[in-house]
Amino acid sequence: MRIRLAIGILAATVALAACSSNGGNGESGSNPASSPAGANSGQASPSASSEEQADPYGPVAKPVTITIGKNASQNTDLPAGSTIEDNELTRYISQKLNVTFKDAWQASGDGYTQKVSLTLASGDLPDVMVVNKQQLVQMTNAGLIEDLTDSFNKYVSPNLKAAYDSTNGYSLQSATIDGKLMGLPNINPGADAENLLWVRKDWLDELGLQEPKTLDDIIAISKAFQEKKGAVGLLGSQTIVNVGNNPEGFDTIFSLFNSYPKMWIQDDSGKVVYGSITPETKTALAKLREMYQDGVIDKEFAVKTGDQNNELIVSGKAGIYFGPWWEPFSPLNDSITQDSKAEWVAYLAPLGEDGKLNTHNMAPSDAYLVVRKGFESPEAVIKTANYQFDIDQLQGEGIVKNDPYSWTNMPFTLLLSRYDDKESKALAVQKVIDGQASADSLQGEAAQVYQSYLKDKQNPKKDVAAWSQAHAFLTGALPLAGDGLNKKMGVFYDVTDTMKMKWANLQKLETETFLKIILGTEPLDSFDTFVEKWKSQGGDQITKEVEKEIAK
Amino acid sequence: MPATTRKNFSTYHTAIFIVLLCVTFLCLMPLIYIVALSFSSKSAAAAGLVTFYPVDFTTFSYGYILKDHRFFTAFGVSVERVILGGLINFVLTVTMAYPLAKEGREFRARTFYMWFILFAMMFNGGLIPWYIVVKTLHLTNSIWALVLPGAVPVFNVVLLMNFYRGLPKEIGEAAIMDGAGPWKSLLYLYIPLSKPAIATVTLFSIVGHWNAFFDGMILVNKQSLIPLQTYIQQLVVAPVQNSADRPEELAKLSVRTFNAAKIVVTMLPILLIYPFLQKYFVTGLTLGSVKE
Amino acid sequence: MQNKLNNRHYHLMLFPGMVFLIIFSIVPLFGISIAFQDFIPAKGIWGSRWIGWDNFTYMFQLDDSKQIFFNTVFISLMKIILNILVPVTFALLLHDLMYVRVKRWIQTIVYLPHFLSWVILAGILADMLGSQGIVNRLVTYFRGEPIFFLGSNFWFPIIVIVSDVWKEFGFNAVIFIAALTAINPSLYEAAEMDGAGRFAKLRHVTLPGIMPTIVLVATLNIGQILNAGFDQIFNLYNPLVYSSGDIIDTYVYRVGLIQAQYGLATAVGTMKSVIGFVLIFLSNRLAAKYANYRIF
Repeated sequence: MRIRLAIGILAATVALAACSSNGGNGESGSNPASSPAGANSGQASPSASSEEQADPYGPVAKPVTITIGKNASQNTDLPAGSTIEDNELTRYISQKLNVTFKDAWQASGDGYTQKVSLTLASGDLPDVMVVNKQQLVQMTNAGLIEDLTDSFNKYVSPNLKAAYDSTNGYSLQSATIDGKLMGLPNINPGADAENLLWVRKDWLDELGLQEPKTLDDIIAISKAFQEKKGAVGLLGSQTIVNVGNNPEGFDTIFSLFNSYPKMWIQDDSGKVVYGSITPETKTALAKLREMYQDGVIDKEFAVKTGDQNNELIVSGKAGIYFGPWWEPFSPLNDSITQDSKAEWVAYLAPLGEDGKLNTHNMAPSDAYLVVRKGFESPEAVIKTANYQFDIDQLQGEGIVKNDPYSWTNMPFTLLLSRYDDKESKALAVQKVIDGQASADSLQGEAAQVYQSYLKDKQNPKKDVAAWSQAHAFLTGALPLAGDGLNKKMGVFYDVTDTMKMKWANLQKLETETFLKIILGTEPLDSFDTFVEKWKSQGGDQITKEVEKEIAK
Repeated sequence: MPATTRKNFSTYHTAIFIVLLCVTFLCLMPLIYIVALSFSSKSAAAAGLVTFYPVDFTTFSYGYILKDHRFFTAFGVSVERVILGGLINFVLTVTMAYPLAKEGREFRARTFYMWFILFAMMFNGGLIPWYIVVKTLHLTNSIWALVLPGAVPVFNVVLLMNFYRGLPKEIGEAAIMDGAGPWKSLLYLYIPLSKPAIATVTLFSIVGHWNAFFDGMILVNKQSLIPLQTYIQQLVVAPVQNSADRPEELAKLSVRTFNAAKIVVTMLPILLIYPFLQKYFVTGLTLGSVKE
Repeated sequence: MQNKLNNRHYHLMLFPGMVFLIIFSIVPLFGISIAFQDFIPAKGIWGSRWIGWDNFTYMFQLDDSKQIFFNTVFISLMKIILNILVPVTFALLLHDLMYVRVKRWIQTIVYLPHFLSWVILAGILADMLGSQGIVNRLVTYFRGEPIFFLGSNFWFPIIVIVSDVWKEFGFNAVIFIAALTAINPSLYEAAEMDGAGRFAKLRHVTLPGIMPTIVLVATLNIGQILNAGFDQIFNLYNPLVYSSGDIIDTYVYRVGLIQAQYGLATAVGTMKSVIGFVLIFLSNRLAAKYANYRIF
């Protein structure tokens, strides 16, 4: 499983590199998709169909209007004359495809979820909406949405197809019900779920400490920082561990012991098991408990909010914590604004005995663009997605002049990235820095990163935005590329029937148990009681359901 | 008055004064903090450096909120709804409370009406049927969607009814003797005599409309019709670069200073309303109107 | 005869309001059927499966049901009591204040916290109550060790109740301030002439004067007993204080995170309404019987 994923990622990386070196810089007016050749990573698509490829970017025969249920917050970045509904990006795609985009309504966050439910209940569907997996299944069962299989196979661009393939088939598979593709899945960058260890390098140097590799190193550094720099211990968060993004989470400590709480995994005998009840998790908890007792971990981590943790980071009271690659964008940017001497470096730590970092991976897709049944042109929808992917890879170069670029300004709020997006861009930029490739080979975000790197090199930390971007990719994302990681993918990320009623209770049990064990208010063996309770209060039933789902 | 009483008088009053000042101080502190926060730089706020005065003074957050004309459009919508909705609330509250305040023997149906509206206040069918009703009436995407569903503020009606009841009965009887019907009685007697209570329910109504954001989000799709709170609560400072890509992440990159500015901006107009209504909280309106 | 004519006018006065109430409050009650269904928005009300009382019994079957209900009622009750005692006291003190100008300012400032959102207040509270916060600086001075306020099941409900009272007392006092102004000043004069001192006046004129309002507000608030303040608790709580801070609404919210559960939410809402309404009715009855009081 892991090996296939690694090959898939490598192949996609090579494909993208080949793509970039062939393609130009996407000047305005020219077609952004330049070289389809070499973009095939050799993975099969759900319904192989060797129809002739129609033009993925050509205009639709009859002009059509697409009404969209838009998930977008308000912002005032767009200049006068542009709105979320109508801006340079939407106009560009509109003109290219002969399609008009209209927002049926616009909401964000909780409001968006409510709005979708209301729309479904009142039977007033816009042409397209972005929904989650359960809604996708419900809408399919209710016969409300179009089967996109044929349109997809006919009109998807090679670039977008390659992007889907970078998830090793997961994305399209998750949107396929009974063999039919019922929605366009999003693609999240896998790097977002992988925690690195961020450390104040200037403090390490000052105290003469080595760069961290093992868990013992981390412990030593945390203690030293507390003693000598007056910092608090290793930061933690209320969400101790999860299966996705988790700043300040202890995920990598758990995975060091081969424990993957909150995730559905396959154990050595091939059976499906819930990560939180495995014996490895008990071992991990024991270690965390020990660390907490020894004062390695911030005493108050269980009640700290994200804001409070950030406060410690920014004000120089915390020097070591786990976080994703994009920490330099926030809060590390504030940290260096407050203290220009702060040097933050990301490390792959704690390393296991094989010298690699174990980490979990999140679901590549968790949002699906669905098309109302009866809509006359699914073709227009697929082609819009084609454009969106390419434009995002270029970060709107050549298309936006006055509007600041943001992918959320495009018609569909569907993130179409690549699973290996951040790593491959980091690698590409690093190659240029090492002189192994020319700067011209970069485009889109990678080109921007390089520019930021140069800017920051010239005047370190003067332009904070440049520092953030360069640092996030080159210090954060770069270590994630290559083979320094053992990535564990879950086997199931969705929701089963029994979970609807019983999961909240099980989660409460789990969270309380874990916290009490780590904090020391309950003995380690209460873990065993927890496992028993978990199984009898619905866990076993749910496990069986998950097995059934996977077997499908 | 004997000297000792005078001394007691002022000790008591000084004591109250001090207590009230302390209490006021307690309420003022967080407000000052929030104002200071709104004028501070993002990184200083993130570092927790702001206490009661701005650090690295900047008007960035305010500029961001106010530079777009949509803010003013939304502001206008809210003002419109406060006026329209407030007016409807006022008329309905004042008229409905009157018959409900009558005795059972004078108006037998009152108990039925009373419990009917209490029932309506306590029970609701949830978001979905409410939405369907508003939609079926074609009210969505108009100012009426924001004003009509809340037309009858039951809590206010009950409050005012209670107040009417507290007015001396002699007043009502005197009016009848003068040949005034219910409407005249209501208009020329009850309303003028209930100024404090009416000011109270008016305040509640205005505040309710001003703070409402959920109905604006659900019932209105036209961007030019969304009220202020709906607009401002969904306003996000777009991140510096295209970093955390997912919409959920974008929202989490909340900027403290920005949120503080949002609060100040929406609180400011309300600050002006209360003092305006306060002049109605005056004693002694029933003085001398009835000879016992 | 005059009565009948008047009655017609009374009905007329109530008519427009009734129309609105029927349209927007009574008609939507058809949605209560959702409480009895495994409601799926995509299927709509007609297409969703009927599951009888399951949604209602769900809340009572949990391991933690007792705990959740207890937390809800306890926090709610304490809030109701204090949200009357404190505003009334404040209104009384303010009423006695002689300096009118300052009165207005105090009133205005004190009602502003009502407009702060719990999102930002929770942040402020977290800062104040952290181990480095102001409160703990005092605590460490006296007892050496900071108190883990937001992680303690003893302190958490207290913090919730006190901060809510602080936030709302200014706004809640408005009703009582208005009620105080309605007391006939000649009553005070009469009491003065009878030789009544300050406390006697309070007992025999002021309190009886505003008692109807107090009882009314208390009764209406009792109807909300199962709403312990979701917004506030959601922003303040963490898993450590689930056993004292988890209320019905926060639990239902977490269930909804896994999959939106309109059936359960509607059932819980209906249950709250029924219990609240019954309590209001009972309060009215009791007040009428034992205190000769007519609330409604």
